[in-house]
Amino acid sequence: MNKIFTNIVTVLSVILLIFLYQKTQLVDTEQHNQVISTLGTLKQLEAVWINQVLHSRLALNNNYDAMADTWITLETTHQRWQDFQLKRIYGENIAHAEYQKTAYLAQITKRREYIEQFKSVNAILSNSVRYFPTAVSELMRLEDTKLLVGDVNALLSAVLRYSLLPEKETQIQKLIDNLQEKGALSEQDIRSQINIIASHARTILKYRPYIDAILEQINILSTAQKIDLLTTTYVNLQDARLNESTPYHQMLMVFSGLLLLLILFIAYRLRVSYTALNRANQQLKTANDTLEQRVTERTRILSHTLEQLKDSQMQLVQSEKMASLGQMVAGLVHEINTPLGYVKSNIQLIQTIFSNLKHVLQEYRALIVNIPDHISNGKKLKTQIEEFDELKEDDSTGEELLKDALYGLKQIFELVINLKNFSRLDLSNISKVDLHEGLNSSLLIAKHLFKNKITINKQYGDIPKVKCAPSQINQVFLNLLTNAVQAIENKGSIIITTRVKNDHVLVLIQDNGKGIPKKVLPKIFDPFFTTKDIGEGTGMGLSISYKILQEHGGNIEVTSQEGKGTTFTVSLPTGI
Amino acid sequence: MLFRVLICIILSLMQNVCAKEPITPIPLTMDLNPDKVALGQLLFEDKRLSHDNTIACVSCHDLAKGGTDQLSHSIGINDTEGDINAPTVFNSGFNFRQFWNGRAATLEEQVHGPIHHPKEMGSHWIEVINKLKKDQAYLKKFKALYPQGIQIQNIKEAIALYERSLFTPNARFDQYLRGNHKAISSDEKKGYTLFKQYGCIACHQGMNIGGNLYQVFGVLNNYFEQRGNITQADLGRFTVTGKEYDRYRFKVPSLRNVEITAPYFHDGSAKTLKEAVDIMAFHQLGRTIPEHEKQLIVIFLKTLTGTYQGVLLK
Ligand code: HEC
Ligand code: HEC
Ligand SMILES: Nc1ncnc2c1ncn2[C@@H]1O[C@H](COP(=O)(O)OP(=O)(O)OP(=O)(O)O)[C@@H](O)[C@H]1O
Ligand SMILES: [Mg+2]
Repeated sequence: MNKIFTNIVTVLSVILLIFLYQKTQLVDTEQHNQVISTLGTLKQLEAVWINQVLHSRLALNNNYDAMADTWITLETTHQRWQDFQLKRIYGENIAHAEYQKTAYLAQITKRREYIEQFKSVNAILSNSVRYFPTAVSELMRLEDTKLLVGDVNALLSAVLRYSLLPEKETQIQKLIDNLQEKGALSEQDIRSQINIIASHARTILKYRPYIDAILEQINILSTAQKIDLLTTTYVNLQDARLNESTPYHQMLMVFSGLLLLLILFIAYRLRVSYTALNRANQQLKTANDTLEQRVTERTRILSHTLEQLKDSQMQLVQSEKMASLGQMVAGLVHEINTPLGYVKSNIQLIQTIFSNLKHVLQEYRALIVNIPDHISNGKKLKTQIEEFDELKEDDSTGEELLKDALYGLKQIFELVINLKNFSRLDLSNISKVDLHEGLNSSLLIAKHLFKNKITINKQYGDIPKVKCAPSQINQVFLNLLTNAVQAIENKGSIIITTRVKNDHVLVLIQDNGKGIPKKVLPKIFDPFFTTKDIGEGTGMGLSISYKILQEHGGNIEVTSQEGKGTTFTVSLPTGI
Repeated sequence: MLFRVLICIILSLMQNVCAKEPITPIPLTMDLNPDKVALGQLLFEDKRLSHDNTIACVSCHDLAKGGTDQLSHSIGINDTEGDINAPTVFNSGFNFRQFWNGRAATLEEQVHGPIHHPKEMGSHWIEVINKLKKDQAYLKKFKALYPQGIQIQNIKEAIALYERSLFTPNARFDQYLRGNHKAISSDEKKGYTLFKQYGCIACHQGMNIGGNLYQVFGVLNNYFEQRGNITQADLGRFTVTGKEYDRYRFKVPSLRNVEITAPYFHDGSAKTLKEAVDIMAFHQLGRTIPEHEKQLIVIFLKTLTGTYQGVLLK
């Protein structure tokens, strides 16, 4: 019900609006202005036209093209006027204006006829006036015309005066008749020349006043006044129309004012509901945002957990690896230790035996001097002892060899102890550890990598023991040393420095290898990042080291210059 | 009185000082819609515009014959002889009115005449339009140029536009007017001077050397009384206005290309230019011109032959 009512109101107001609008559109100011300006043009063109007529009369114009063109322009302007839908512009009341228009057109047509006459007459008159003196002198050039001189001259001056001021026509008429009478008895050529003069004089007599009459007519027929009247008529019509439409204008104003209010009201309503909608939207958006935030939060936590999981898995693998390595090394150490023990004690035994034997032999030598050669086997004994003496000359050599063997054994022992150290770490938990010891054992393990190309420069400072898991710390050292060796392409050196800084122990492993490009530097601690060939590197070394130090509350840092070398700094808290 | 004389003298002096030639050259180019011109040409050359499909506009206005038929009186349909001489269509666009008596204001208006004239094409618009509408080519061409298609107004416009394209610039005399003093010989220049001195210029002036005013044929000596046998056509503008004043009054014809548009005058009575000049001198100027001067005027008139589409008319 309400809806139908609204629709009806809408339709009605649109109809009313259109009606009022059309009523106010009655006044077409632009068209009216065009009509008025057309009239203005006409007036102007006519002025130009008349000016051209006068110019022709005074022989300032020497052809009629300009005049003809002006008329054509006038005609097209008339056509334009004709084409206006005057009834639409001014309403039905244009009878009077139409009457005035017809009157104007009739007048200008008449004026035009006079102007055409003017053109004809002007041409003829000017020809005759111009020719007249020539015609007279042509007559005088003929023989036997002396008698005529007086009459001819009188006629010439009278005609020329007449051409300027058309007066005393009858007098000239008489002069013409006179001349013709006098010449009547003359020769044929004189007679015909007199006739020519007469006909031109008559032409002037005929056309000179005629052209004045034409010009006067042209003047009288000026349409300027008629155009002014028409302009006034049109303006009045326009005013009437304006008056007629004024109430509609006002109504339209009021009505559109009302409509405007209505629209404002609707706009207000719209705004209110829009605000409500907006608020709801806002809430929805906030909810959405929170949701999103929570999701990201979750994702972050999840990925963090995943990372942790990955890390611990890696650690697990690592410790597994180390544990089995430790077990293997421990077994190996044990296996080697046992035979090594008795090899050592045996050699020490041999050493003792050997030096005892030396004493015995010296005793023998002293005794043998006293034994005669003929005593049985005396000679044989002597030679045997001498042989042994020969051996004695080398006895230092023999001792040396044993010494060397012992030294070798000692070295094997050291290695085994180191291996033991290295593996023990896996088994052991955190304990106070001498880092130098760890460094040394790492160096030993890595020794085979050095070959001849690398010199090790140890600059151990005075550092306290550090609480840590030695197996893991050793692994860090081994990794760093391996990387350093691998970074050195030809010959180079590795400087290992230890010192205390604040409550940390620093271990610097510095190589003069190829260095790390700036681009690569941030990635080296990433797991699986490697620049090395497959098989040579896994990319796990530094990431594990980093991990280990993190767990110890320590840190590992790197500075590197491409082409110059790299320094890794391991720092571990001293712990109290 | 003296004052007026003085003014006249001063004015005539002024006229000499700023002396302009009373004849102006034809423009070298005109801006006309080439498609409409082409359509106009088709219509101009189309015999279907006549009742029995035997005569086209071009039959009486042959461009090869100076835009005329070179007959005293034209021959229309059924070999009917007309009453009047056919003027050239060349430069007709520059005339202030059309026909000898100026009864058509414009070229557009003029087209109506020959189509309906019983001694020319003897047809009428309905017949013409029906014939044209049967021609697919016309239907297409008109549609392309005029939204309303084949209509009287559009046929008129196309033909008129074609006629406006028949202008003949660059006559030797025009070249002279444009400043090329060698374009005409000294005799031809003398002829021009005589043309002005004798007063031909009073009527034959402007760009078309005529074509912009009416004048009685026989101003100083009655032409028709001497010739005799006066016909309807001789009445000139009288037949249009009915005014005694207009009896024997004609549009002064253009003298452009006059060398190739013989015979001359509305009655086609003068077979040569010399005859025409003779008649003009006697009847329009009331004078006789010596033989050698006439000759000079004639050779001057021959410098008025222009070019159409760049080719000198013959
Ligand atoms: C039978 C011959 C004939 C035909 C066909 C003919 N004309 Fe004419 N044309 C004349 C004659 C004769 C006149 C002069 C008539 C007069 O002035 O009364 C004339 C006059 C004219 C004029 C006036 C030129 C001037 O300077 O006043 C124009 C333009 C013209 N014709 C164009 C045409 C066109 C366009 C057609 C075709 C629709 C046409 N004519 C067909 C014989 C012909
Ligand atoms: C008073 C005006 C007037 C003067 C002066 C005048 N003419 Fe004419 N001329 C006309 C008229 C009018 C016609 C057309 C007559 C007719 O055919 O009915 C005409 C026609 C001609 C024609 C024929 C044109 C044609 O195509 O048929 C020629 C040629 C000509 N005049 C040359 C001259 C020469 C040369 C002079 C000067 C010696 C001259 N006119 C002086 C008015 C004049
Ligand atoms: N001292 C160093 N000099 C130059 N580059 C180094 C040095 N130490 C590490 N790098 C660069 O860091 C990368 C990562 O080292 P990381 O020890 O993590 O893996 P890796 O040595 O390639 O492989 P893995 O140690 O598992 O055998 C190396 O591939 C190497 O490019
Ligand atoms: Mg590595």
